[in-house]
Amino acid sequence: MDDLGSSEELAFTPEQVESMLYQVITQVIGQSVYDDAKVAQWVDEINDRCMEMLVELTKPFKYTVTTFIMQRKGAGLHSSHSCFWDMATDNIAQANWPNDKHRDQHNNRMYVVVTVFAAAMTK
Amino acid sequence: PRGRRRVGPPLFRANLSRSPSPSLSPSLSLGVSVWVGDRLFPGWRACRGERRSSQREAMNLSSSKSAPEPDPVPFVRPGYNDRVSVNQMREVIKEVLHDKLAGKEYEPSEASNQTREIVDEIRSRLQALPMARYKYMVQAVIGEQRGGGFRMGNRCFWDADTDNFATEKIVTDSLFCVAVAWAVYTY
Repeated sequence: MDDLGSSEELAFTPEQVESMLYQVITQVIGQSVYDDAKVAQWVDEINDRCMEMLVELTKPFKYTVTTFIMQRKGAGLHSSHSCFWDMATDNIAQANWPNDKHRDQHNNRMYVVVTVFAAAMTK
Repeated sequence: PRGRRRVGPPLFRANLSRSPSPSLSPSLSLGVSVWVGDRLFPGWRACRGERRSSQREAMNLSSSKSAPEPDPVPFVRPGYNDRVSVNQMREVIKEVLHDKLAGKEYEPSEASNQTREIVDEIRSRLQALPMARYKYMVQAVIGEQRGGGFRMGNRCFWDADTDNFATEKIVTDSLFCVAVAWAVYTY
């Protein structure tokens, strides 16, 4: 059987994906202020761009991208996830925006969290 | 190898067992409806071989999680009754949310634990569902009600034939909670 690619190319690397997620969020949101009329469009756009970028990686994974945007009003927000899958192949990438690394894009009007679940297609 | 014709760049290594199988009655070449369209995965369609129907049906009928996995049978799909049911998943999520959060106030110290308990409980109940070869992912968000806006959306790249998701929310005077569960089939 031919060699079908090295295992690094086929594995899902959260670090690589996370930096791409931050780029997407910055492109879509940037310095905008929370706007109720636009937030639906932002969520859709972030989801679409992240999905395009993930599919371009052409890795044998099924992806689920979730985005939520919350207006910064001093309210608390907690998010948690639990997965039943194969830990050797499947992984999750999460971007919590804004964070300290992106200080120049510091937007103190809203929180954006993008989560990508990647499940391998075959064992 | 019989039935395999690779088109385009190779994508992944398929674990095919080469045991000779008797030639089967109608070869069901089931196309995979990949969400983005097959131009991105040209090899995916071309690689789908015949479905070994009798072997798979036997496995489906006697599917039990504790049975040891036989040789990997390639490109199998769940039977009609073995697909995950959205309504069932939604019921599970609704039950758990009501058990844990109905009538509760938002407590910053508790919310972290509450989210974790909720996702773990939903995930273990989904695991107990009888459908085989499904992977489950659950996410829950608890937020305080302070009049702030909140919007959540998700996109999935999967096989629309076999995979699905369910979502439920609960809103009380001081908090809201949204839980989403995705079920993804492993071939």
